Amino acid sequence: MTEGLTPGRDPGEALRLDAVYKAFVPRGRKAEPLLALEDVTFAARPGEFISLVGPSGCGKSTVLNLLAGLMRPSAGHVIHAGREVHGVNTEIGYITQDDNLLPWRSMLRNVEYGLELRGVPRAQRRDRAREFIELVGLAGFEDHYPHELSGGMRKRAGIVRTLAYESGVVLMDEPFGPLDAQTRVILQDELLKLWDRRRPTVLFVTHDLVEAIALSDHILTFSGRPGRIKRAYQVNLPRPRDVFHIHEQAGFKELYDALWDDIRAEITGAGHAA
Amino acid sequence: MTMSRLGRPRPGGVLSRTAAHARAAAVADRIRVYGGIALLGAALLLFWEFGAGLIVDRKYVSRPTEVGAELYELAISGDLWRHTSITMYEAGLGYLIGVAVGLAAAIVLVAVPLLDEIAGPFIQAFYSIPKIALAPMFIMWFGLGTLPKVMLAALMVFLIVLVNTVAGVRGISPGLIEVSRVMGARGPSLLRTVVLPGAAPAVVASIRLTFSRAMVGAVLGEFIAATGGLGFLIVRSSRQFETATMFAGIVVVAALVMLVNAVIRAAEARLLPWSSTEVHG
Ligand SMILES: Nc1ncnc2c1ncn2[C@@H]1O[C@H](COP(=O)(O)OP(=O)(O)O)[C@@H](O)[C@H]1O
Ligand SMILES: [Mg+2]
Repeated sequence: MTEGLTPGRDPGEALRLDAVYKAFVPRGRKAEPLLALEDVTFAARPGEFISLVGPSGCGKSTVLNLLAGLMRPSAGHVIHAGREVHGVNTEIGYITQDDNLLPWRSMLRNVEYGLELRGVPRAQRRDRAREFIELVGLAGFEDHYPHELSGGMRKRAGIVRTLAYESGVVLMDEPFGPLDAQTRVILQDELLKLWDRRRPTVLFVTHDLVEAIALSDHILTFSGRPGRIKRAYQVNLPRPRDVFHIHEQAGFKELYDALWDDIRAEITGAGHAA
Repeated sequence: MTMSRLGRPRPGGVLSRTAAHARAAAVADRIRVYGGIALLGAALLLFWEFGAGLIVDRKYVSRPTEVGAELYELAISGDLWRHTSITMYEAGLGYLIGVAVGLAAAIVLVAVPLLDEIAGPFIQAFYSIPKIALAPMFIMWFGLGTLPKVMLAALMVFLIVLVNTVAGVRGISPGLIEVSRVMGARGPSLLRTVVLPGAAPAVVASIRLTFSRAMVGAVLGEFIAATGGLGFLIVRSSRQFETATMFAGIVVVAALVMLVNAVIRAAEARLLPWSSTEVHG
């Protein structure tokens, strides 16, 4: 990851935010415009796994929405694969906090959805979907509708649905937020194994510092209101990672403590009203 | 604390016994519900047959056996079929027109949100007119034939389908639409894979429930001025104190609405296995 250095379009970068500002005008008569992001600059090289952590409301989801092309920056540049993002960006994968599976499609047909929209022939996309379903242990549930699956199963389905069409960049917004602690760790492990197959660039938003350390190559901490990048941390733990015992790794504790000091200052409002 | 056990049942035995209990409980439940329905129905019919005459003059309430005999007579003479086919034609055609126009108008309003906001107050004003109040005007405009009844039935259906379809589309989660767009859905593919199925439960529920409204429209129109139809049959027989015939007409109307609702509901369960929705109207 390179941070705040060369403005411009390095073709070796998977994505870049360059001096990005984002303001919102909330609905309502007396509402003041609100600066959600201020001068955010960072870039990711292909294959990097980057986590964004910071107090809630600091603009992490906004960063992902900008890259997905669902919003436009108020100032600055949002660049993906060397080109400025204009309109909805269908070249990336976006896994939101809500699983957003289509309730009227069976699990299998949900996993096929991205491939279907890309015009992959039926037999081929079915094979691909089944392969991914198998990888996350969902075989046997192909014909279930989302409301018939557990929270963990829906998450798995949502993740493989996006990974199945193998975009170079994958955005994940607190994907494991609502899950119980055990399921979370298991899914982190599965995610790393899936990621390792093709190593897409991942931007991963999380509240969980252990999760950020276990998964990432780099961690960006954000400060809140307006959201700015506070610091960038490199995670020098070897891969493949053992997420179940990550806290026993040399170097884990130092990194965790540094992140926690950083974040705690934001949450307890040192200088900022939360 | 201790974890030593005194005896140990076989796990297979536990499962099959639990399943058997659950099945037996479900059967018992069914029997109670259907038995209750049969009992209440029988009690009502018996009261009507033997008890109602003690409270009001038998002339005004007839008896189930007389109503049954009258239905049989009407069926034999061909009158039943004639009146039923007239009413079904009016209600059915009006229903189809109302659904089609309601859906088309909803698509326009969804596609052009500004139009939706402009049309909003007018739709609400129209919504608040009891459609019955328009029946005499429709007869005046369209005469004594089937046309005013068809129009009245269509009008009863149109607004409800319109309002519920718009609400159905608006009710689709924005997140679902955004994620689908990022995955590559747009234009027709977004419509086909997200918007239509997302709005479908509300639309289908409104389509199912409005058939009874179409019946109301047709029968009301017949009450006011007609030469045939179940509404005409009911009004004419009530004026002549042919109470059994009047009840026969009412029974047929109720049976038709229930029959059509059951057919639509069965189709709905097949088309939309994932959901069921409340309808507003
Ligand atoms: N579409 C929007 N309209 C208005 N304000 C928004 C919108 N999206 C986000 N915001 C505001 O921007 C700030 C950052 O939001 P968000 O990116 O969701 O934060 P995070 O994901 O870090 O919790 C919040 O104050 C939020 O209320
Ligand atoms: Mg967020």
